[in-house]
Amino acid sequence: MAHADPDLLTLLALGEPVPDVSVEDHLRVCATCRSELAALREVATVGRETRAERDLPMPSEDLWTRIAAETGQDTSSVVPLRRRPRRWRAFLAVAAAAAVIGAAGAVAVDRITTAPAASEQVLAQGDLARLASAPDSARGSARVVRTADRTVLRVSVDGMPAPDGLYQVWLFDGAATMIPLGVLTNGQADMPLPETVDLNTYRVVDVSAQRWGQQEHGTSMLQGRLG
Amino acid sequence: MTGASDTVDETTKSFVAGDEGALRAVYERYAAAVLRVASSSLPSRADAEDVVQTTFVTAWRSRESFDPAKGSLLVWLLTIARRRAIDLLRAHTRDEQVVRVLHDTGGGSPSDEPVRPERIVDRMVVLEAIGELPPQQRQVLLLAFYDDLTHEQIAATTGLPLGTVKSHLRRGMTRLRQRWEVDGGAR
Repeated sequence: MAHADPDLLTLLALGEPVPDVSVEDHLRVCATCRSELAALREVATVGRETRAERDLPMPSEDLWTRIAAETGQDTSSVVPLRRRPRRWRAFLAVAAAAAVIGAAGAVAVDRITTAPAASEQVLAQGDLARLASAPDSARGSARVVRTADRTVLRVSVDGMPAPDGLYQVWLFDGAATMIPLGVLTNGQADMPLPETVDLNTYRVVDVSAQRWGQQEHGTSMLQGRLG
Repeated sequence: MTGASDTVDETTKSFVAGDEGALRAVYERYAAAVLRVASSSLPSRADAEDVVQTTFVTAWRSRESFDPAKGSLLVWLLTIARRRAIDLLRAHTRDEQVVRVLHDTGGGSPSDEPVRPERIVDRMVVLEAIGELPPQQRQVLLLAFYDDLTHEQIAATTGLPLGTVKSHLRRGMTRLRQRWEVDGGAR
């Protein structure tokens, strides 16, 4: 007897409906596949729960000093802790970034833009969530606004440090292509949207830190999805 | 099964060897996870940080007893932290108020439902395994986990072919399961 397709078992474990009734028939008679599915469901459940654990705080700064003193570590010659890459935090941040790109992943931040003028119509909007390179205080929002004569992407950010170079706003298709829209100054800017850009495809707004003269996309600071 | 030995990286090796800087590297990688597990049973932040301190000091002094064949360094540290937290709880047992607080809140962050500390350990293991997946596989899996997207929605969002999405999901889940089962067996 052939066992169930592992791809289908994975989808079932993730809670997707699988229209192939022969899989259900097979599961009724095959204990091996049933236990396989049960194990994968457990993994999916714990995997989903990790969402709550993505932004774990580090212990207070002086804890390392206490540990170093107790274990006789040399604290004089090493690079200060905060300047070294934090692998744990880094992959948590990656997780956060991936989640933001998804449909329901927008991280709620307080609205920081003022209400649009009466003559304007908001076509889409989204909060921008902080990525790994941005300080904890960073936040932002983006709106697609139709004014009397044009459509703009209105981006507003707050809590961002002065850039070494500049901050640039991009539209991103979530996969491979990024469209540069313009430079963000004083935390806010209206950027004209070319009519040829399909916002159903380019739904992710990205704010990046760019070095002077850097043509390609730099370091993402904030990201969010228009909805 | 390859056991946990395929997860032994340079940091872990240099930790066991007692290299200079290795404890610091391990601390940076895992202190947040150790604190999370300690906090899940100890409502006082000061107590939880004491457990973190004891855990890393104990781990460093007994590093030669760490056996990568039995589980990952992360789980070894979290196991030490759990034991220390339980020791501390026993010391507090006469203080009924502490016990009541524990039962009321289950520890952990205030926004959380009460979660058993063992479950927090499971989450840390899976979270680390997620972080070690190839980036595209990880992104696909997280869109399923965190955003509840179906494989078709993931394909539409990422522009990846359906078959690629399905295979990323399967491989990612298989990898998480391997890591979890290996490290689950260590407890």
